[in-house]
Formats: sequence, structure tokens, C-alpha cells
Amino acid sequence: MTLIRMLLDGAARLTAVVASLCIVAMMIHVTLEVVCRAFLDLPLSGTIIFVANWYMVFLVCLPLAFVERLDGHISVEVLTETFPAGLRRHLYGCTYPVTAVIFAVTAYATWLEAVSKWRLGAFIIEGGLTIPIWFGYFALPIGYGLLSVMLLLKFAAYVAGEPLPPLAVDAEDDWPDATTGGAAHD
Amino acid sequence: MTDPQVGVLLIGVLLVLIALRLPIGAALVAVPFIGIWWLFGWRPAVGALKAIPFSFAANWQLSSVPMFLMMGFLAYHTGITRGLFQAARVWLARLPGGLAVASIFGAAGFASVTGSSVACAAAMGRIAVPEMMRAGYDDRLATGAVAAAGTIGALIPPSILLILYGIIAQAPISHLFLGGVGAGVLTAVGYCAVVVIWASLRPEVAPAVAERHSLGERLRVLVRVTPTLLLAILVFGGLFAGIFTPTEAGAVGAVLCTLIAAGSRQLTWPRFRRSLVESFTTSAAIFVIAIGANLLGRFVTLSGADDYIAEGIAQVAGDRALLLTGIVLLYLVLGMFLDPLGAMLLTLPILLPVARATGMDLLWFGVILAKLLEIGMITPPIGLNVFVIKNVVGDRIGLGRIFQGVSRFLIADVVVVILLMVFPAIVLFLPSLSK
Repeated sequence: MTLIRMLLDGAARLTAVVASLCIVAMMIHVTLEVVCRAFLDLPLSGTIIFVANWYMVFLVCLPLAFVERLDGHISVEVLTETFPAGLRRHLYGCTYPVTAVIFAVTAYATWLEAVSKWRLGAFIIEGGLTIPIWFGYFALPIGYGLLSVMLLLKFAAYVAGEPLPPLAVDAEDDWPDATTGGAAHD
Repeated sequence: MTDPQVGVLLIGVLLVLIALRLPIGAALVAVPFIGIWWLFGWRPAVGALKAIPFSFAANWQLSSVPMFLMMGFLAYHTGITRGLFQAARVWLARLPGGLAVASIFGAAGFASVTGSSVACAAAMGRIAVPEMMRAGYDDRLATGAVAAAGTIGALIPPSILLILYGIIAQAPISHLFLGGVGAGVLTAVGYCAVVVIWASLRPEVAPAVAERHSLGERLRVLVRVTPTLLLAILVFGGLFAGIFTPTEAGAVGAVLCTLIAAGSRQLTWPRFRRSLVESFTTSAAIFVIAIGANLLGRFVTLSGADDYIAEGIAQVAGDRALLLTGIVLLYLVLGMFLDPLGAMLLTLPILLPVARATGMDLLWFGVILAKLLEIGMITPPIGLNVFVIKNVVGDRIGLGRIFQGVSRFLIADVVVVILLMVFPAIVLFLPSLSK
């Protein structure tokens, strides 16, 4: 179990690195396009395709398991908070396999799509540039698949009576009196 | 059972699943999938699940979300907007409740670099609340003003709520942002009025601050906030002038924010990394729900439940004013219990057809929606901004005291909502200039 957890955590962290790189790449690529277009009258071909089909899909779909490890997926606890602690714990435990199945079906469907795009070698041509986009489709089954396995791991931890604490994202070196600013709320 | 009835039944199942704490994104995928499977068979259900997630994620317009998030989180973690409160303080400290008024101005300024009301409340909370407490302000005024002022973060552009609304409602994001300016400024004015009236009627809640500042000092503090003001002017000037798309505005803003933080020696690797992590985790959490909301929209249309619900609502509330009142009450209640993004994405597939059928202006409707959902950020039991301020003040001030403080600002919110409904021009005037 520990080995599986370490492997899954490692995979989730790897997806986090890829997502971070996508944000940086998107910032730089889009800004360069604006600068080249505005000052050099030299628009960079295919920026929209790269941003949408490369950076965005990897950025939002790949790290879903990492978000789950931070307990970052949005759910509503108003009603369940009024339940007795024991009932609440079991109810939360039961949501893991249900959610895992839902996202496994999503992973399966998006896998079918990814394979068909890969076989076609899907690409988009813009400004004389041929941009392959088939591999972006694989971000979805990988992201949803990893998320599904992570939920099963959480279920196993619940059954074993040792719930997984959320991964810690270090808050060191924030400016004084820092509290949380990371909110998935609005 | 007819198709629309299946649609309505499954919407009920969806609400039950969410109430039982199934992640909203999972419930929003499961219910439409089962619904399409039930009505049309396995292959169309898998077909919808194959096509929609990628086409929704690979979206140029939506790419503005992670860019604006990155800009806001960078500004927050590097503290480059810290000077906003001090600048507002120097200019406004002599007003009744001047420090609280300054915190509202500071929040409005911070709102121009962040799309999150929670980040806005946290940023102002950790600067302004300790200053107000030191000056002997009543704890309800000090905390209530900042918790409420945070909600301006999701109205004044950039606003993540308005971006997502614009994409789902197919309304131009730059016009929504301009509409949000009207609502955000009116909200700020309303909150300032609450502070001034409260402090004038009960001077003991906000002892006068003895500080005096020369014109030179006042101008010097303005120089200190110039980078933040320039950032907002460049990013939104470019966007509203039609030079940038929203994604370009967000990307340029994030790069400029990085450069300003580096220039002021506030940029460190842990701060940059934390901003990155919060940007992509927030984006991913939003997109899981948004993809589900898209599937729900598809299912609601396919089942005919949208027309069914619209007809039902029209029969119950045939009068437009009555319908609007119903929508306002619905979102006020939803906002009390649900996360704003979740509440919006969950209800839009059902309510947008109703809004369209009754001829509502979708720009105006989106801004009203954002305002109503933001009120939910300061109402019990799930007033997220109040929890953020509680986190800032620790054990010194109880949650009940903060909610008591916020209750005064809710009066201003009610007035603002009524004004926005009676005078749609407050929202629509600026967008009309750019048409």
C-alpha cells in the first residue's frame, strides 16, 4: 500500500510539474505573440492552436489526481456536516468508489477518442504550419485515469482505517502574516 | 415517463448526489451520462463523453482563466499590491471610519489584478484588519468591511465568474468585464457609505486617526502604487481597446506581474511555485465542473427539460419582475450553501434558456448573477470570505462578531442589487460604449 501510494504520489507530482510548465509556456508564448504582432508586425502562426490544444489540455486535465491529493475538488458539505461523525466518515468513504467509477468511465471514453485521433494523426494547419494535436487527446484519459486510481487508493486507505492526509504544498517564504490565498472558489 | 420528465427527475437526482457530498464535477458527469444512456442508448452517451471534455478543455477563450489566476496569485504571494491600502489610507484616513474606507478602496484596487474574491479578502485582511484593530476600531467594523470588500474582487475585472459565464452564455467577455466595473464600483461606493454612516452615528466604533499628511507625502504614496496601477491600465486598457483578447491580457498581466515582483525583489522561487500550483489546481478544479456543466447542458437540451422548466416557470411566474425576484432569491439561497462557481455552473444550463426565453439581456443577467453569488460569500453558513478573515484574525475575534459586522454591509448589497435591477444602464452603459 505504501509503495502504491508513493508511486501514485510521484505520478501526481509529475503531472503537477507538467501543468506548471504549461502555465509558464503559455504566459511566455502568448506574450511573445502580442509583442511580435504589436511591435514587429510579425504574428506568430498557430499561437491559438498551441495554447488550446497543447498547453490548456495538459494544464487542466493532467493534474486532476494531484488536485484530489490536495482535497481540491469542489464538493458541498453543508448537509453532511450535520450528520453524526461516524455516519459522515462512512458516507465520505463510500463516495470514493462511486467517484472512481464515474471518472474511470470518463477515462475510458476519452481513451477511445484519443486512440482514434492518434490513428488519424490528427493535426491542424495554420499559416502554413502543420501542428499535430493528436497527443493532446491523451491528457484526458491519463488525467481522469490517474484520478480514478487515486480515488481507489483513498478508498483503500479508508477501509484500512488510515485516511490519507492531503499533500502539503509548502507555504514558506510567503510575505508576513500570509494566510491562504489559494481558492478554487471564484 | 416523457423525456422532459426524465430530465427533471435526473436533475433532482443530481441535487441529491451533490448534497451527499459527491464532488460536483463527478455528479455533473454521471447524471447527464446516465440520462443520455437512458433516453438514447449507450453509444450516444459514450459519444458525448468522448467529444465534450476535449472540445471544452481545448478552448482558446477559457485559457484566460489560468492566466488571470496566475496574475492574481502572483500579485497576492509577492505582496506587490501592499501599497494600495497605505495609499488609500493616506488620502482617506480623515473620513469617518477612514481606515475601513481605505480598506474598501484597497480591495477595489486589488480586484483589478485578481479575479478571486477570497484572495482579495485575504490580501486586504492581513494588511488592513491589524491596522484597524491597532487604531481602536470596533472588531465588527474592521473585519466586516474587509470580508465584504473582498467580494468586489469577482466583480471588477478580471473576474473568473464572468469569464466562465461569458463562455457558457456566449456573451463577449470584454463586455462582461466592462459591465462588472459598474457593479463593482457601485458596490464599493455602497460599502463606503455603510462605513461612513456607521462611524458617523457611532463614532466610538472608529476613533478618529490623528495622522496628517502633506501633499508631498500623499503624492509619494501614489508613486509607490504606480506599478500596480500601470499593470491594471495596460492589461485592461489593451483588452477594452480591442488590442488584446482576454487570454492575451491575462498572459501579459502575468508576465508583467512577474517582472514587477522581480524588480521590487519580492519574487522568490517558493512564491512563484506556489502561484503556479494554485493557478493550475484552481483551473483544473474549475474545469472538471465546467466540463460536467457542459454535459448537463447537452442533456437538458436533448431531453427537452429546458423548455419544460421554462414553461413551468413562465406559468408560475409569468410576470418578468416576479421571475427576476425568484431568480434573485434562488441565487441568494444557493450562494448561502454552494461555492459560487459550483452554483453558477450547476444552474446556468437550466436558467439560461429561461433568461433567453424571457428576453433578458444576457450581459446584464451575468453581472447580476455574479453580484448575487458574491453576496453568498459573506452570508452564513458558508461565507467563505468571513472564514478567510477569521483565519487572519485567529482567536482574537469570533466568527459571530465577523458575521455581525458583515450584516451591515449586506444592507448595502440589497440596495445595490435593487439599483442594478431597476437601472440596467449601471451595468450596460460601459459595454454600450465599446459596441
